[in-house]
Amino acid sequence: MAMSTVLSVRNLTKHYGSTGGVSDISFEVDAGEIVGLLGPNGAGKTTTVECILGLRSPDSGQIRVNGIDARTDPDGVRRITGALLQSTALQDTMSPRDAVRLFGSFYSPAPDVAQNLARFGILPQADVPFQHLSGGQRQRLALALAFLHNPGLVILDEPSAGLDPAARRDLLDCIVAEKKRNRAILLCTHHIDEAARICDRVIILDSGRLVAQGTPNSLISRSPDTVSIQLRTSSDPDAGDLKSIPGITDIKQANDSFILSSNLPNQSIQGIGILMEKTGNCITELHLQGANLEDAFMELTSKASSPDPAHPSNPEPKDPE
Amino acid sequence: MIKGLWRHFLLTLRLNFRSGRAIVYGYIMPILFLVGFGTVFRTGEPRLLYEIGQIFTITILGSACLGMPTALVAERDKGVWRRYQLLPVPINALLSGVLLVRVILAGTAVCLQIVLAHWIYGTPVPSSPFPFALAFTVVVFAFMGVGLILTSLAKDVPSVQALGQCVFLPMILIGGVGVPLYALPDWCRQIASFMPGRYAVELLQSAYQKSTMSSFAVYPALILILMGVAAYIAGLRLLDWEQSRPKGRRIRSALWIALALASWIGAGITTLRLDRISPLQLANHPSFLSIDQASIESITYDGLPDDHGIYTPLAPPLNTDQRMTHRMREFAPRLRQWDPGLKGDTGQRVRNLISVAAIADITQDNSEAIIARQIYDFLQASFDKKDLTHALAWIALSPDNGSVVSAAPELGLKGEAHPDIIRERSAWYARKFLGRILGHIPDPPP
Repeated sequence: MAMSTVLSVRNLTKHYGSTGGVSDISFEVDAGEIVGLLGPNGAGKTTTVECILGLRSPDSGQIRVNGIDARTDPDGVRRITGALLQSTALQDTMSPRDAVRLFGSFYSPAPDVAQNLARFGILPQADVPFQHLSGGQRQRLALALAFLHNPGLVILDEPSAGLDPAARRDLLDCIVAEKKRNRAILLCTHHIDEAARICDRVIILDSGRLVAQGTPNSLISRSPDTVSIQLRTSSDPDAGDLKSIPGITDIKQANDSFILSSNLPNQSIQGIGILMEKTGNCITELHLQGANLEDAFMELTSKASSPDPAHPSNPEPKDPE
Repeated sequence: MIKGLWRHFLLTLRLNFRSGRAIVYGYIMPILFLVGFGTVFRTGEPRLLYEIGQIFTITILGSACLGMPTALVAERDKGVWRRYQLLPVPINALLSGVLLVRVILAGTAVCLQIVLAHWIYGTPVPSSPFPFALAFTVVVFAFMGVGLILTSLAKDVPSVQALGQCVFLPMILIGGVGVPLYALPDWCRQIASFMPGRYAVELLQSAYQKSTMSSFAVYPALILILMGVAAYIAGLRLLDWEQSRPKGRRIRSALWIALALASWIGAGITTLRLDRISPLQLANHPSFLSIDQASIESITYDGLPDDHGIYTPLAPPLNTDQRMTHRMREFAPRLRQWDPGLKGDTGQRVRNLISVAAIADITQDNSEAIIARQIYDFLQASFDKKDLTHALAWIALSPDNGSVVSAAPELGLKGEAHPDIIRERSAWYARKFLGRILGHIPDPPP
């Protein structure tokens, strides 16, 4: 294990009866990086996280956090790991100050309560009962509890679930700020844009298998060279004419515009211009968008779901960057 | 870690007092139960002394089998315990803190009841707190084990409340907790032998009333410890702090529940085999023969209730008209043939006969004073004076020894009385009779 590697997961397998769980997953998370764990529902993200945190016992494989074996010393791992899990809460009448003081008292040295509340912007609500905190304030408190003891590894499972865009942006800013303190952060999320924005690397799980891992750009580059063209015109063009344009592979109509997929964007743009001129139509709006992480995710997870025996479970080693 | 556990304990205690619902269930309801019992059970003297074990048992049962499981399941469903699992401390250490808080809450509720019972009804407080504290600890331990099982079985708050009521209500109604055991029919007493409630009542009642370690009710304490240990083993094995429960747990759950229930069944069978289904049976009675002259002379006759008063009335020597009322005409021959008055040693026979006067007094029979006089006359006619003197002194000095009769329908007495009250009244009658026999109390001429 390299010196900077904080979390190392090797050949992790955990099954629940005949279905669900994860199979033979391996990845690492280094200090000072945010790694996104992406996957559709039931992909095995939560199982992976729970195995790392010792909430579930793996069937096989090895999990080490800073060299500590999570299977033999789960308390040791928890001592140096912070976590924000889905579906966790505090007692209705517990205030953020109570919570930070309580959780902090299990670590040595005990962290400063006010400082930690201020760090995540909940000092003004320090004495407000949990039941009266907003969703964003609750998540900030959860984040404060996760980072309370300055852990080397922090695992965040859907930290922005249920938050409005502004609260979500604030939360992501907090996470990025913590990364700069040289922490290793494993972020499980459904929001691909969130992962694209803050993750240094992304791991994609599907049906309990690791289907890809790498930087967002490296994963995007693996998706087909398709460009999406959003076209709005003064009058509706004939769909057959659009399909005859070179490079166009797919056409979708959305409200008053067309979404065209093209694998030859230069020729397609040229063809659109010629068609407009020929039919006396006029372009009122034209947007081009290259492949993004969402496309890569959809491509990778749909491939993994298809019955392809040659498809590898751990197809790509960690991108060295 | 110790600092963290201590802080968790203190915070759990403090959070409880921030919750209005916890205050209502933890303190207001026990007070209402106390007042309810005080309203229903008005005849005991001192008031509520003989029901105090039932009142405490309801308080502890409510806290351990309704309050605690509901709070734990609600916290589990919210994910509080899922979050606690991420702390670098064994989860059972945190659970122990919660249990300890519950012990304190139940203990303070019981203390509040003791103070209020003393203040409102004049119920005496235990002369020595240690046996009662020990009994309380044993009862809380057993019931909290049951509470842990309920917590582990329930999938959500409504189901834990339903499960709690399934335990609570049968114990209240036919388990000797709400309705006293002596007032239940035999089949109920037999069923009650399989439930922890009746043992809790017996243990708490005995420890509260007698307040000495030598008279500590060992049998019910052992039964409760057995039930508690089985419940803790099963409960801790079954507890799962995740909101969603994986499949395949049902069979495992059933096996552990069977273990816990086996302790209940074992207790019931043992109790039935030992013929201990009646409450407060005491062992190792000293014989009336152990009463010596000095003991007899130590008995005083001050402060006895007035013969014409509410308690232990005693009619003056009867004239022929009184004896020849229809009821008394039937009573005398029945008394002569009454089995409990014929069987056993002199001391027990005298105690059984005096019980009849006590029953008539407690049930406020129309002829209570005349029946007491009939019993007195019958005792004098049936026993040697020396034996009778010793037997009466034994009853006066050792009211808890021997056994008492709590009902005598064959003598035409309606109703049934609490054995403890019968013992108390019997002791008073014994002093009244003894005082007359020895000439310390003048008996007016007919």
